[in-house]
Amino acid sequence: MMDPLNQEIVEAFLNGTLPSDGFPHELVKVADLLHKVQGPATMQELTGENMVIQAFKASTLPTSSSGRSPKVLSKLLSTKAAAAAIAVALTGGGAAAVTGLIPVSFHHGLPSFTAQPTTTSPSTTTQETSSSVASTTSTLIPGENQGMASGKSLFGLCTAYSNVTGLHGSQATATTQATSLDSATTSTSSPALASTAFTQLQALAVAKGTTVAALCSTISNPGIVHEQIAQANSKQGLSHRPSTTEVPTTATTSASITTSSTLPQNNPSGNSIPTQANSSSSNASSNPGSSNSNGHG
Amino acid sequence: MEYQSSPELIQAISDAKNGDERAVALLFRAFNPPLLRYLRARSGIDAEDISSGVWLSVAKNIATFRGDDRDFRSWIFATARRRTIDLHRRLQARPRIEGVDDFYSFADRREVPALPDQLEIDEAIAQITQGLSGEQVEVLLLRIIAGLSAEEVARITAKSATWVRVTQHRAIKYISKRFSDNDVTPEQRAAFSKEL
Repeated sequence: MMDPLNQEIVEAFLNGTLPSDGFPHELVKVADLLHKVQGPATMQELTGENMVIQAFKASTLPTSSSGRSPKVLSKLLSTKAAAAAIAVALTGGGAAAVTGLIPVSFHHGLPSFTAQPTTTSPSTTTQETSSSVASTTSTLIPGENQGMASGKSLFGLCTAYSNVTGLHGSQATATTQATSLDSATTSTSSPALASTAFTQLQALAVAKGTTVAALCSTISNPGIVHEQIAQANSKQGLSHRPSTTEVPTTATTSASITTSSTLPQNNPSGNSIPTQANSSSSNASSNPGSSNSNGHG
Repeated sequence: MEYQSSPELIQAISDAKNGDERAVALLFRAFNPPLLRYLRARSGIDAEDISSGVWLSVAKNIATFRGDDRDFRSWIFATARRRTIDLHRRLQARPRIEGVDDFYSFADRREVPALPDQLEIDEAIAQITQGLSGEQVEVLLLRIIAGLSAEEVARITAKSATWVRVTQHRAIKYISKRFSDNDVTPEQRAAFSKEL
């Protein structure tokens, strides 16, 4: 009996041109399977089309005038960003402590501190901040000693530190903070105390040859009384009510008040952290998600 | 079924070099289904990842591509085959811990279930390739799914066209024998396999 599977038949088989009649049923069955395998595309097989299109478009983008493709530039940018991040990590945030510029990432472990503007203008002086401009939508607190370790950033960090330890009330003075912080350093029950920001705070205290409590006790309160803001706003025909859930925003120029850093802190909200007024409008868009406290009162 | 050249796809390859979206979409719809079927049969759950890598590689190198749609198809499957071989080498080099589920078998169980038509295709491929050697599976898939000729398969696999024809002949013979009768004893089946 002649072998039904000669070379021509196999080729016809693979090409899908095998006639269905006159062949053993097993060959017809195999031919059916081959036909199924070569069937039309399914939905699952057509997913990912957009990704491929974008890949083709990206690969055909014209190169820039410098001869570098956008992809190369993006890689360079990523490298620079990574280098900056590494530099911050290697210096242990010391530079930030010295300049008073606490990186945003340091604030991630500090819920009450995250929305506070993290940059201050180096040209801002005490005089300028004492006449800082209040916004109708912000809880602005003018600060002092900006740019130095005893600035608002450090004060906020001290306050957050004491809040995390749970030993510090909103009405506490710097002296009571010092007491509570002394206790906090010996009972680090909160895992948040292991955060980078608090570690930096402790490192700064050690670098200064003192304790966190003593260091924080030397930091004057740059805060401002909320009632005074309300009063100032009411004089302008505006209303403002501080809230514990209020998201601090960067001040904008709508109502001007004169404050002093020596004003006693009278923070009616239990957990709110003194926030910063910045007369510079450069940070005006830094917190697009900030809430507007207008209309609450 | 051997692939039939298409003027539309030849033009699409030319347009895709300029980033033309419609051309790229046309190429994707024409070549991704067989590519994925080939990769699913060869690499299982890694098929999607390898397929993405193949397309990214094609996008990166399309500017230097010269040829028609047959060459393009051959290029895609050659790239896919290389990546599949690389994957298998990496998996073999990876140390295995006895008694612990293999990652891939574990992931396979959690894979998004395939749609019925997809299952039908995968099932058909599984029935065809069951019991075949790796080389036979490779040749059959490149012939049936990729639609490459024996000469093209020979180029991709770095073998002769004669070797390809002999291999595919043995594979088809084995499959048809497997389907011919269910009363074949295991001994006969083993002897038949040995003969191939």
